[in-house]
Amino acid sequence: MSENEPEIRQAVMDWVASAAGENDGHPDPETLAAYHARELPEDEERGIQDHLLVCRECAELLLDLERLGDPGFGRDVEIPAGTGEVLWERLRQEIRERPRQETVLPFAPRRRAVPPPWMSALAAALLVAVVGLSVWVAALRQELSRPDLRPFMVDLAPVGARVRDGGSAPATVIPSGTSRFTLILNPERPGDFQEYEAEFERTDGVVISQRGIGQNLYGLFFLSETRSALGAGDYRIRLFGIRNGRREPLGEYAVRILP
Amino acid sequence: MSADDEWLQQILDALQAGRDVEENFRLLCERYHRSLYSFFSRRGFSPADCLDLTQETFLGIYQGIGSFRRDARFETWLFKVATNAWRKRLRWEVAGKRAAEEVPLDTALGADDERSAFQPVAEDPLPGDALLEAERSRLLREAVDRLPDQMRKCLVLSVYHDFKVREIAQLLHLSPETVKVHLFQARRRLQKTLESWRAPS
Repeated sequence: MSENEPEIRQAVMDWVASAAGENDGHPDPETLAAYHARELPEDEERGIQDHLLVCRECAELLLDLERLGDPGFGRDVEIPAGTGEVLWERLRQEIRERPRQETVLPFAPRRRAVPPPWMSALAAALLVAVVGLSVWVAALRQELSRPDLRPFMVDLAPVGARVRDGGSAPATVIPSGTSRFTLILNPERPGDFQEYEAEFERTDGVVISQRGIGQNLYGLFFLSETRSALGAGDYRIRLFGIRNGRREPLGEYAVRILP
Repeated sequence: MSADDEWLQQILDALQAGRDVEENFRLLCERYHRSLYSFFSRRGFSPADCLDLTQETFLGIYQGIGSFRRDARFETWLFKVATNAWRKRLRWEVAGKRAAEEVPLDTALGADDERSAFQPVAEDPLPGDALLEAERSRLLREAVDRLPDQMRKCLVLSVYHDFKVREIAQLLHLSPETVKVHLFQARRRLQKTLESWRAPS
């Protein structure tokens, strides 16, 4: 690694920030699988690759697709003892209650029945409900897949850190209109743990999100979030190192997401 | 065909023909449940959610096994079913959070609470320094933009996402050697840009 690595890193981050706005939402699983199987035309393949540059989520999905068939995949994930047995017990009950769909016979006899009078009213009500739900789902899909023209990335100061005027570092503010943002956690001593974990806690003490997080070459941790997943409000973010199943706090950060 | 592939084909043959369905499906679950659980765990779900989503995926497989076309890899189909289950759960969670009541800031934080006195910190670098910094950033960003397409993709996946050479090779359908060469050349070009920027001063 060269002495210019921080500048190169910053330049790449700037480039990604400027490129992120050109993206058109996540490809569906079928398209990702087709990309993986090299079945897409060249221009579509380039489009997927451009998306991977700004979307770690889809990149990791593709890597997992590669690993799913590997019997060793998941050895690094701690699976509670007896999970396989519990799963099979639940599945066995389900499949006994829910027989597999059989092939439909082409000339199965049709049953003729006269619908009761209330059936029309019920059908109309269901139709209205389905149309309403479809509109809501379409709006939700549009919002989730809308590219963010102003990607927001911020380096968080730990709670209690002293700033130039002698006071404590304030909460970092995520401004209104920012739908997606990346938070950079930069703990004083990240240490060398087997795993790391970040949790989001609301001001009422409820932990609303807890997840594993990876450390990069520079000892930084990147958390990509969406406004719609968290909602406006004040949050404490805690970073933990995990060794032999024990969590050790590494840093605490305050974030305020403006409505 | 490997022994593992052969074993899988036999299981799929039996399931599609309706022979010993429960036992063959149990063997399939035994083979893939760790992979599926890990797939969901790596996406931040709790153990209980991982179990639910793994179950949901296997049920999808069970329901659709009759219509599974064998020209695709089984793992690819498993991936599609799992990814759909995951995205469905995400949409459901987003919808649930929207419906949840928000806690007003005024009541959640006391007036004398230090956390309520949030003030943005304004960094005031010297104007000359800031201009130089901005100029250097602009030059480097343009240099990244001018890199050949595949070279830039390798660099971004390495520097921005911290993916390993092997992973970048998988993601871009390149050989690991090609990725290494691209990374080396990309860094060298950007270093030259930096050196030429520094040279006049």
